[in-house]
Amino acid sequence: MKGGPAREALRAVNPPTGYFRPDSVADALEILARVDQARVVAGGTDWMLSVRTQGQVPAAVVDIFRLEELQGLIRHPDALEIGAAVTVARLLASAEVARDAPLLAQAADRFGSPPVRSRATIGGNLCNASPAADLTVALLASDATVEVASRRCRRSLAIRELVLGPRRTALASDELLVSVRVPIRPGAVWAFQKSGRRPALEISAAAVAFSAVLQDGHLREPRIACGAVAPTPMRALQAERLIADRRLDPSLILACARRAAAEVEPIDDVRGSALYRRRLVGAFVSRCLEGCHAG
Amino acid sequence: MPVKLSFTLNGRPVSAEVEPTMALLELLRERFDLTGAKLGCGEGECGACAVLLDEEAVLGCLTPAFAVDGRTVRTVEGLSSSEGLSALQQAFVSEGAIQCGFCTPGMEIAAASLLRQEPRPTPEQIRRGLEGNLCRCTGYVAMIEAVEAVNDD
Ligand SMILES: Cc1cc2nc3c(=O)[nH]c(=O)nc-3n(C[C@H](O)[C@H](O)[C@H](O)COP(=O)(O)OP(=O)(O)OC[C@H]3O[C@@H](n4cnc5c(N)ncnc54)[C@H](O)[C@@H]3O)c2cc1C
Ligand code: FES
Ligand code: FES
Repeated sequence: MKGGPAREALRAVNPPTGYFRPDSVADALEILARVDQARVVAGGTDWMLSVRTQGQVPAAVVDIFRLEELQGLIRHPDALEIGAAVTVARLLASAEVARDAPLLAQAADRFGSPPVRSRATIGGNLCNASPAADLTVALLASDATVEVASRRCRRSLAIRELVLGPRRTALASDELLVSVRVPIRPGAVWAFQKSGRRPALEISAAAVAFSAVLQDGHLREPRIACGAVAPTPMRALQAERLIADRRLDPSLILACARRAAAEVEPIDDVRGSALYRRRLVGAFVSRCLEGCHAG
Repeated sequence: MPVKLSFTLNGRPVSAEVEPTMALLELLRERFDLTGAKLGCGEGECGACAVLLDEEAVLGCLTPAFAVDGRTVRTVEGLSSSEGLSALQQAFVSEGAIQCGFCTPGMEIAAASLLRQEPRPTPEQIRRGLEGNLCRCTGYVAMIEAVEAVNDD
């Protein structure tokens, strides 16, 4: 049944008027400032799908996938800086990411399938602003920030300031997401849990990312981020407050899981009912906390 | 505004003009008559459309055609040589990993990409390497055995 519309969309009807492949960020910003309704395309895994299934054709395409300045993986003393066009495959292969941004590494490991990972980028995952975006959930729990540039200015945003709603970001039409900064937290504990019908490939029915710094058995600055259970990836702030500066024990883990399940705002859809998703969140939060309790 | 592309396709330099919204799969099937890669779901879920871009598997249905400019593309047609099937393809035949054959080009591309990165994959690595490819006929055991059989040579 899907073959019909997909087949038709393969022959795109009204072609875009422009294709640009800038060699520098400066050139990309120039094009974005000048060309009306230009659309940034990185790996295209989300973009092509919108072209094929919804016939959404932009006026112009700005191809940034191979832009050299967006490929960096730079270790600063206090943070890992990741270029917007770095693919999930590269995140997965990187020893720096495994060591300094383990939550992101874990989300990359559970992401899509190999041919998706070789095109999907970190910037695309953030800017597509899906409620279920796994890297975004991991970055939210890591206190990551993003660097955004336009010809007018450069600014730095927290993840929750960037992702405003389903498919909606704070980026103006002339702005480009340039890089992601993941703070390095020595002594951090972390865990990532997600589900889907086919966990490796499917868009998550729910995902939970957890991180905290363990100090004398106490959890400092705990972060619990949840995906696919609200219009945007969200932090379970009440649940975080319950465990902040405390020592974990089984009854505290249970209370925290229940609080998280109560404070998320899931909907019913094809991937699961709201009730099922609340239960997933509860179960995932328990697993995350038990894992780090034991470790 | 059509985009002019030059790239290497199954070992030969080629060029084409495409619209920016064209998928790589359409370019290969309709302009170059390479019908090995198939349109299955068109949504990234089945892997029937997979081809190698710089020797790494990508989805033909979700990769823009413009992405191949200046690069190297290999389709299932390019896995075999004038001497015949590759060792991997021969293993698919001998292990009975093919029934109707619809998924086979994508499976072999995924396996070729895996073997390039991991010449001696474990069964678990093979399973993960093929996790983006669906088969509605054989089940997956024969395919995993086929990829393992390549190692034994
Ligand atoms: C089969 C399949 C499985 C998937 N599995 C997962 C999964 O497990 N987890 C998950 O989270 N996602 C998954 N996805 C979704 C998708 O692959 C990701 O969201 C991916 O990270 C998007 O990156 P991209 O480079 O392909 O984005 P593109 O499609 O190129 O772009 C997506 C959007 O972001 C904008 N954009 C991209 N880069 C920038 C930038 N630097 N600055 C400003 N705007 C920008 C584009 O304009 C576009 O609107 C899956 C998709 C498919 C098809
Ligand atoms: S047709 Fe491309 S993944 Fe199914
Ligand atoms: S052999 Fe028929 S789909 Fe795999």
